[in-house]
Amino acid sequence: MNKAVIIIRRFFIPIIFFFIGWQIIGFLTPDIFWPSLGTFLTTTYKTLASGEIYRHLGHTMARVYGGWAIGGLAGAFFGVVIGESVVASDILKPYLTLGRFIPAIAWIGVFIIWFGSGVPSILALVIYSSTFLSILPTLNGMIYAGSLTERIRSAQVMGANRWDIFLKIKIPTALPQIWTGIRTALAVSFLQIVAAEMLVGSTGLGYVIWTSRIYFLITKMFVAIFMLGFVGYLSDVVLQNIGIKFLKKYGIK
Amino acid sequence: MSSEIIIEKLSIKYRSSIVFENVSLDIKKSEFFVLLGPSGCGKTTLLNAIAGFLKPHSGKIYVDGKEVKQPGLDRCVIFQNAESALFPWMTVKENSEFGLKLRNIGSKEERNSLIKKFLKKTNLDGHEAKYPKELSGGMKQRLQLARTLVMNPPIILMDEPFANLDAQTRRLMQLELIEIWRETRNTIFYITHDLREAVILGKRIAVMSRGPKAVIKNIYKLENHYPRDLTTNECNNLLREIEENLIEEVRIGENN
Repeated sequence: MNKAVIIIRRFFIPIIFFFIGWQIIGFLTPDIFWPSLGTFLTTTYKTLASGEIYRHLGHTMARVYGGWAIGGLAGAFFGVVIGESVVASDILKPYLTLGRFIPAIAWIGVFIIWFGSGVPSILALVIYSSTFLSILPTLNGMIYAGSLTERIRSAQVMGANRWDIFLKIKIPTALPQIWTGIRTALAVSFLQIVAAEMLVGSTGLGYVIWTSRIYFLITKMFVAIFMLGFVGYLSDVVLQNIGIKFLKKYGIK
Repeated sequence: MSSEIIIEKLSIKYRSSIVFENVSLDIKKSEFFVLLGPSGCGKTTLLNAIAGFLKPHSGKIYVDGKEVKQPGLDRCVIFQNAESALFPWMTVKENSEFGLKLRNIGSKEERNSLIKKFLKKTNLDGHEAKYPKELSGGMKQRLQLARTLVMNPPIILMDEPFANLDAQTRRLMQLELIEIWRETRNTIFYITHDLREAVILGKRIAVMSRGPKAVIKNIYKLENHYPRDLTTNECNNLLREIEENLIEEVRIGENN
């Protein structure tokens, strides 16, 4: 397909639809609930130009990426260990199954008591949820890798010991699923951060949304919400491209 | 390099049922030995036992007088499903180099020339940089073969390697395999359910019976030379004889 047509279809048409839809709803609802397109664009411009929002954005991002990096890696590590060791799997799997049904936000009260009402509690929540999110796909990947008897045996007859099989066969086989887990964990970190910042934050986009509510600053709330969506989308695109560039041969698309 | 395999009164149980019992075989050095039998008779189980993947219930397997207890570098296996046996994240060259690197064999230059030699022998030269998913079914099996040959194992165990290929590719692969074996003279233990393939390839052909307790019934020896012409009297008579034998086995198996 023509490149220009793709750009028009994927970018321009959705943007035009967005503006038209926005204006229609703006006509039908009072400004206090849904600002008109003009008000929305000018407030967005003012908010972005003032610079204040970037400080909140920076704090949110630092918490998201920091918590996600620790949690994602920890989850991948535990997933690999549980997937490799039958004993670890037997002991830890009940906790995992149980933990899956507990929403991460349910822990925030406990975290506040443990870590205080502030950044450590927010970080703990992001770490907790991204750890859980990346364990399961990693574990499934390892179980799948262990089920490929012929692949493991063919390495064995070429002289591979258990460690070689783990490192050179199972991990590369499980890598696409490990990567999926890490990517999903990032998306979930974005979900958790807002809830956490609303409850215990004194900065961050979640805090902006929550405090704007008190003064009916509906446009500011929209700006913060769209900013989160935009940065989340951008982060996922960057992560996806890193995967394709460096891990393509392992089957990452 | 080649070795002999001696199997003494081997019995293998799977859970509580016996797959086969009291199987004895004697595979000579540099021999192309074919084990023929209907699907599900226990051929792969026997191959897995020789490879050291399975522990026998009773009986013993010896390779050059040494008892087989686990997989060893003297017995390489070529699997039926190349797709799952190859490493998809490695190129043709990297797949071929895996065993050599793992065992630290030779310098980089020596490894490269060895790989070059066997990729040429298996008609894969020019495809070094490709990944397995870019290869056809026949090429994937050639890669398994090349990866095995660079290791120069005394024994190659082959588990219906051409069963998933189309008829023409299978014929071509059979001819290529014979050519390679005549040059390298590794001991080959080849299992198949295809009677014609058995007669084309085997120096000796053992027929395994089907049933709750499979046994090796007959061993046929072929005198004539490679490449085999199936239209000769010797081959024809043998094909007929084994076929009757096999049909009888399938009947017995179905009645059990």
